[in-house]
Amino acid sequence: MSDHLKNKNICKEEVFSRIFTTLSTDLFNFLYYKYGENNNPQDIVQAAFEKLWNNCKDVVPEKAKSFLFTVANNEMLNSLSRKKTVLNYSLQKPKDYTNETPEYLLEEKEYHNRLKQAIEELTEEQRVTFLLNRIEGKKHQEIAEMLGISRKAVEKRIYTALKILREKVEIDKI
Amino acid sequence: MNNEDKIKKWLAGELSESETSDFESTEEFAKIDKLMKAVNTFKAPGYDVLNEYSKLSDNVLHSKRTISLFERMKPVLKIAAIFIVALTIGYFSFNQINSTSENQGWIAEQSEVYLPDSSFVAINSGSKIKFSEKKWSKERNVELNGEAFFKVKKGSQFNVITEQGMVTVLGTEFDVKARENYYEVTCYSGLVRVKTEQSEVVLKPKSVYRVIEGTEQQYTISDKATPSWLQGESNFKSVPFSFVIKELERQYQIKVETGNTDINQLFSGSFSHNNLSIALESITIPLNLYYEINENKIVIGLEE
Repeated sequence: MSDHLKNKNICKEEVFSRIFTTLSTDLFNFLYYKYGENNNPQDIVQAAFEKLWNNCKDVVPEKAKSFLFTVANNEMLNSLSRKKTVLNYSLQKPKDYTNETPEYLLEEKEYHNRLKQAIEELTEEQRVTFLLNRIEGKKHQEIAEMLGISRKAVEKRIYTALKILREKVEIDKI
Repeated sequence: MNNEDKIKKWLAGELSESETSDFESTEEFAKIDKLMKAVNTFKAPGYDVLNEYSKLSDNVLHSKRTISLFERMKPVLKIAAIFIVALTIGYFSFNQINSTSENQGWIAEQSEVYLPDSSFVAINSGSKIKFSEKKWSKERNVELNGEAFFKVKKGSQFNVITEQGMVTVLGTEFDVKARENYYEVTCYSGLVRVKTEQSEVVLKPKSVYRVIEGTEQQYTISDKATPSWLQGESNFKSVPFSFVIKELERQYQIKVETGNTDINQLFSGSFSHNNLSIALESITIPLNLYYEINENKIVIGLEE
């Protein structure tokens, strides 16, 4: 947490709103990559910040981050309607392929479908670690703090995830 | 260094420059690179911090505020309660002598209310209604400031009173929008009589009567059962842009600066109440305007 928030009370709305601005997107991305969009990451972010506000007297600003990530994760695990397997990542169309042959385009499409499935089949821990690092560009240390694990573990998860994805995606053509 | 270590170090960005260029020329790297590029298409959808915060602020922060204030004021309130009891007794005895009746307070802000005869009112953002529960059995009068949709139970005459005019019905569904220099009544079923300073009209279902800055208009709308704002959208038909901006400000509780924009030009279209950037796009793109979201205010202007 940055210095200007130290020794300040989260019960003050300007402090609370600054915490929201700094952390809500990270929290949302974390939930999205871990559980997919069908499990309403927006709502869980709202619930987590609501809990932070209700406990504003007991949480110091430096602890807000780990408080939010823990609460959000528990909230997700407790949610009864939680959908277990289906992770609906929206696949954006790859751009700038206008000069490619239909065969190439088809292969690309199959490659993407295999990748989508492979990502969904990763464990939640592998997926969130890998995607936060590769898509959001989060440093190993930052991810370690978010997830409350060691830097070494982050490194291992990213590597394992990459290995699994490659095994499932890189099917050699005969 | 074996292959696994090399990839791990590359992932962590720990390879030296020469090691990196060596690694990046391998066929293995080409495959990884392709994978990584494809992975990036799975990026999470954008998170609308501004909008999400205002949701949180509406639902949580402000309700909590009143509770904490209440708790702090508890000792004071105990004393106040004694006075209130005393005053109430005094008021009622006074009231019996004078036989006057007191109106209820204003009910405001996007809520749904059932009137004493179970007629239904949906109130739009930045709007309020007021009615007297006591006198209800004698006369069904509702004062309105802003916009509301009414579903009136059949019965005696029902009046909606605004600064600009009065709407009289027996039992029907209609929407009244009374804003500064803007008055609009839409009838959805039954018959609605509208009385303003200028004129008196009777509206049939799916017809609209409106007065914008003194100019009267009457037209019909396509098949719609309820106003669009009940579905989270504001709809406009040839309305001066300044009124569109005012509605946007009310819906999102924001300030909009229009700079060099021609705010008198007519706008037809709609915007959503759920996503500020989409809403801004839907009102600026058709008019070739740009918009910018700064911290607390939004700037709209002519595209260079």
